[in-house]
Amino acid sequence: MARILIIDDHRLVRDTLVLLLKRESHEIQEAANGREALRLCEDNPPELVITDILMPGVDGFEVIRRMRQLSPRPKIIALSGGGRNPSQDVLKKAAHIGADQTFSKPIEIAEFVAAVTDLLATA
Amino acid sequence: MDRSTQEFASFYGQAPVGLCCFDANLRYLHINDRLAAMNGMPAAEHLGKSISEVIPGVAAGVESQLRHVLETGETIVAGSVVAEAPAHPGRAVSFRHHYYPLKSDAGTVVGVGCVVEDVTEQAQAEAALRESEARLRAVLEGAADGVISIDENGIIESFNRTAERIFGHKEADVIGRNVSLLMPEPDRGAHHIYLQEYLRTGVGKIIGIGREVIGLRKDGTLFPLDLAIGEVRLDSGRHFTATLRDVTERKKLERRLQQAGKLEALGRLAGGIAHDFNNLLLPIIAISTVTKQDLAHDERASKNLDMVLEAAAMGRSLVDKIMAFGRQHPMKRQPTNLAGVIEEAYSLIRPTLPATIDIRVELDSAVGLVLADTTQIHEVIANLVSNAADAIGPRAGVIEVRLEKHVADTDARKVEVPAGPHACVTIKDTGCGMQHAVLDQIFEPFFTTKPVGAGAGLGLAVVHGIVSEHSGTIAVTSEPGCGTTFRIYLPVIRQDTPCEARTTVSG
Repeated sequence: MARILIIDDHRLVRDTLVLLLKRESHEIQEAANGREALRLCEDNPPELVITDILMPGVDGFEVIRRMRQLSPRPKIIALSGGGRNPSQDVLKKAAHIGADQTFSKPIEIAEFVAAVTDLLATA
Repeated sequence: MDRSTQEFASFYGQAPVGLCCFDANLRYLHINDRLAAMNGMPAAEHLGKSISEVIPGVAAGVESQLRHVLETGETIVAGSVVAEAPAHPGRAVSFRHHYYPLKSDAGTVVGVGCVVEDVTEQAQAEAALRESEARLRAVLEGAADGVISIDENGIIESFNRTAERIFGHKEADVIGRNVSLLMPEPDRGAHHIYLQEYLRTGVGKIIGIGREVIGLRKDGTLFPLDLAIGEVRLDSGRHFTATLRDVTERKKLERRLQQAGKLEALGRLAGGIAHDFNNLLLPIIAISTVTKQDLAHDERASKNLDMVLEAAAMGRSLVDKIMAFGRQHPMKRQPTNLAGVIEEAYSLIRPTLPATIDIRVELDSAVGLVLADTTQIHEVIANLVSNAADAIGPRAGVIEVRLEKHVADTDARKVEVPAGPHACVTIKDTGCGMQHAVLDQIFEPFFTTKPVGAGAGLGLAVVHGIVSEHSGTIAVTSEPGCGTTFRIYLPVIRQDTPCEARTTVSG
């Protein structure tokens, strides 16, 4: 069991990811935006952060940059639903600045759960 | 001297025109001061002298006319002479003169009377007017705008060269005809009433204001033109001058800019829609998937969830298309031999199309290299061939896929392809074709002629976007019942190509 922080401004997406990962018996924290997420991580960083990229205020890129400075550094999965720029472009940038894994929404469930397991195994 | 003789002598002496009489030998009998001054010699010195003794410069011409009057008794009216002024050597003056016979009581011609006017100023004014008119004419003929003048009945009085070019009429063919021949209905029928109304009330819709109207060329085609009309009131009546400019090209450009702006706005909207859609699809797919796992033993629930997942997959595919339209993936353009790409696309598409459709592929590999993203060109070909197959339907039909050189000068099809060598990809079908009203909209996103659910209406919008990003041009011609032809023109960057000449495939 690991502690995972899920950051997405879309409630249904958060609820779904919580549902998926609770089934794997993980302890889940949620944040609706980057600012809230950074506050949650200050004292006790999670082992894995799953963050959306395009969010109002502090976006996913900023979240990734700040997570890299934490110790111990959490593993990071970045998600994007695209928008004006295709999700692949957004995720390429996320990977470049430090995301360990990236997924385009809507995610492939099996691949996503497997990635979470693999990343936690190396955490 | 009696009173009447005195009055006559006074009138003769002070007349503002030159007066003199010659005897039968063409010697001066008398002359008034005005003419004497014109000749530069006191009046008294003229008497008894011949013409050549007084005005030798013009004597020959004048004497010959005077002799004619003497011999025939005829009057010569308004003859004119331009000569050096006898009184002012070096200055050219113009005279107008009248010669009439002086007759005895018996009716015999005994001399010649002369009235001479100095019309130098008038002649100079006329010359200046002629010069001014010539200048004005040159300005009008050289004007970039068409200039037409009409009288108050709408009759054309002048029609400059640009107007000839714009309307296709020759000036000689339209002078004297009513200007309404340059207008289509209903303006044509209403013009006379409009003009009369303006003359009566002074209230006009165009005169003094200017506006865009529709013109009618000699060949019957219509075109937009900017029209400004000015009025001038002369002794001969009220006249109107129209200045007009063919704005066909400007209107086309405006339409293109509008279309580009619309597509840009729709692109932004599409990006937003795609983002939100992906967020909504995630819970649908994820929760359906895990619920299906949980209910693996319940066959009916499992089947129902499969339907949810299938619908979600279709939604996902739709989002991909919206994304493709909204902002294309970054292009990976490289010098490409289009023949290879088209052949590859054909080999992938052929198995998906009914055997009743005969696809004829003719590719000229020597068209040169095009800077292209092969994946995107693939998508263009797949989209157009698939649309062609849809247009043919279950009947037997033919789709021609052709690649050839486009040479602007020899291409009779009126397509606006920029200068320079281009490769032309043609996809032609024998399908149901399209109405002209449909043709205007086919590149707009979400426009479709297919039944609800059969197409998202994004295929041609994506094709248009890709061709535009390749600096290309796409043209379409179609007739209901006769099929549709798409032509894509892509700029060639290099003429040389390592490939052999021509590939022909049919299947």
